[in-house]
Amino acid sequence: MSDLIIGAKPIRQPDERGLAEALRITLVIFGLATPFFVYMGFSASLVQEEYRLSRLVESRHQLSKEHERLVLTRDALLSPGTVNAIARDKLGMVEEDAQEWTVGVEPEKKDGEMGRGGDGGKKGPSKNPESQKAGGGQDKKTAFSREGVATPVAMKTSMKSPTLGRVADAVARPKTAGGPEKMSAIRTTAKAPPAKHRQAKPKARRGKKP
Amino acid sequence: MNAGLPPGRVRLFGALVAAAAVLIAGRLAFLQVVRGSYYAQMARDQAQERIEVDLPRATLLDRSGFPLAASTQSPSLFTFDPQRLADPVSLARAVSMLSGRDSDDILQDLRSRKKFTWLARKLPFQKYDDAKAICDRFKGCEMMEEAGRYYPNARLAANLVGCVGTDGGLTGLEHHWNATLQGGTRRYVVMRDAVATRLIPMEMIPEIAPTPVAIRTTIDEAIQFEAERVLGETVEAMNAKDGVAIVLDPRSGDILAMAVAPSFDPNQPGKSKVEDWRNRAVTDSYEPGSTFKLITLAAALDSGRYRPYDTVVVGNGTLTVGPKTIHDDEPPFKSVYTVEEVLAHSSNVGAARIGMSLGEDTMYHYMRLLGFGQPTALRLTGESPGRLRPPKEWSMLSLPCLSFGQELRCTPLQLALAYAAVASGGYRVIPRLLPDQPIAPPERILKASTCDALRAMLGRVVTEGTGKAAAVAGVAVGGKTGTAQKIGQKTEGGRRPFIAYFVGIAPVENPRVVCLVMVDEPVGKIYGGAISAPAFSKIVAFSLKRLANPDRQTFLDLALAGGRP
Repeated sequence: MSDLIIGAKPIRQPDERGLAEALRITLVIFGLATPFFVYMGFSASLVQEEYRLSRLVESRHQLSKEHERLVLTRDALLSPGTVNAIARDKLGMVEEDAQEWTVGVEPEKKDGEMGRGGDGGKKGPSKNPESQKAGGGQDKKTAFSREGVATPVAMKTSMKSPTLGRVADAVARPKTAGGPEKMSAIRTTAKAPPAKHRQAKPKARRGKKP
Repeated sequence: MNAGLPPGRVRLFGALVAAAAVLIAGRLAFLQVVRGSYYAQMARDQAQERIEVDLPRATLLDRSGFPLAASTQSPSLFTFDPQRLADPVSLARAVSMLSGRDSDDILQDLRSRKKFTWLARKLPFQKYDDAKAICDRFKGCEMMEEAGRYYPNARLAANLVGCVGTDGGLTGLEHHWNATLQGGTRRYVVMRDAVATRLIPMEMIPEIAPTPVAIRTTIDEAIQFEAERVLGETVEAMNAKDGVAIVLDPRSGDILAMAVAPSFDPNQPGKSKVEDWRNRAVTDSYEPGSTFKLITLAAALDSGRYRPYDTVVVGNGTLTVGPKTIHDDEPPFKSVYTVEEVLAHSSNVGAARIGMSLGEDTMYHYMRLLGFGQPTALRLTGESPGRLRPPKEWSMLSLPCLSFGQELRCTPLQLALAYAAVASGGYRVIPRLLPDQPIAPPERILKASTCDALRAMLGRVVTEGTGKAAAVAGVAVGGKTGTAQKIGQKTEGGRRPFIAYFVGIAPVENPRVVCLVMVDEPVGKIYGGAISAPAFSKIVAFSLKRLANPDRQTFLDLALAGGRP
């Protein structure tokens, strides 16, 4: 049991226990705050990443739709009909056998000169049905001349749709003097004149046959 | 303080309060425990909704993988509240320029008392950016995307591929394969608020069956295009009512092209007549005319009753059967033809004599064997079986008339398949539109020797007979002309009631393609040798070039390469 001294002056001693307590409290606060701040930091970062991600997803969605549209546009541009139309309308290509007769009434000719261009001077309608049945270019000529009506006075190239090889010819060859635009004029196969021309005024001409 | 109240009343009041409390507690227990799951389900049903979203239709591809039909998202413009629009007049004008809809109509809609108003629906997907620009410019104008169908090749194979409407395929393969193409629906559970506005999707219910992304067909884009081009020019030049061209591979039955004229644009089907939507190659049946003589000769040779150089008396080109007289189209150049010459010169009398000598049962047997009078294995929507009466319904004239292609009707595809059987060396050709579908096991229906002889005869038709215009430079082709008269049918516009055919094979020795060209009701010329044979020549020449270039896949590649092997 310690002695009790009456009137003794109290001695101030450093409060180590309080310091330790303060330190402990500080540590506890830091211990509690650090995860909070870490959590807050992560959360903020997460929110930012989520935002970025949503923007990217949205962007990807838009790009995907844009890609689909471009693919369809490409498909449409590569379709044979479009290639054909561009070759014909924009590049001025023509089919190699596309020729149209510009048909008109022969100006002034003597009777014996009618329709010689068609079948070598053969006049009058052919009696042989095989000539029509066999068809083809020869038949067109026969049909053309035997009507004795129309005579080709000029040929012009027509903008018929080119086939594959024909487009290729025009594309692949250099545009020289005899280039694509003129090729069609060289390779010609007469196309039958329209029926209405063939049948126009046949009686008047037939009357003049020798 | 309670001294004034008698204790009995206090107890009674307490008992009542206790009873009420018990009742409330009991009711609560009933609601929460006994009916708890029921009300929880009811609450879920009110807050959640299951919605079904149609998946995009599968893409239809040609044999090289190029799209014939594809799904797309079409922009549609609308507004929630027209009254709040700042400048409805300018908006109506802008939408009108974009959609082609009359601006007055749009303005009228905007001035109505309706809240939700459509301004333009299902615009072409190419106008997406323009539609978006309008939304950005005019506050209150909104855009949403709706599922649409786009045909990048427009009219190419339109009659075969068909088109779609609001509820799915309307015609063609779009209708025939609708269940497969449509694929199914994707189901979502979404939250909704008190006024049933859909908020957010909560979960996606997994698909029961996988949806096909694309279906590849046997159609060759380039051959189809050429067939349509040539057929279209022929029909236009002859001012004909319609026409059909078919190209198929006799070895596999693959249909490479099925062209019909007139056609329509499936991107705008409403702008064409509904009858132009038909795939006449399978839905319409026609008399085959002289092209049917090949079937008569197939029966004659295969039954062993005739050999190619046996003779048939054709006399002066007439044959009287009962009250009727059968005529050859042109007088024969001699009174006795060989079987081969009957085909080469297309003698009706010769074919009738052969058919009559074979008898009804033999002829009918071979006609059925080669597929006449029954639909093809494709079984496309609206496919016609043709018309072939059984022998018990035949008249005295039926057998001779059938022998040269009258008194029966068949679809162009049936006729092409009969020729394909000969081209394949005597095997039944099962037509295919799906290249991944297994080829049916070979079933021999004609002797190989019969087919060899028939192929040689078809070759002679082109070299010496009525089909000279079908010749292809550098390739031996064979075929048969046909000119069928349409009995008792009225025609319009000066058209003649005839059908001009050419059906052929190429090359004769080892056929790789069978091609049929049919022109219905031409003006002027009527003969298949004059109308259809030149078209056949062009289509076959192109097809052989194309098939010799399997590596060059795109039309443009082929074009740039010269289209040559």
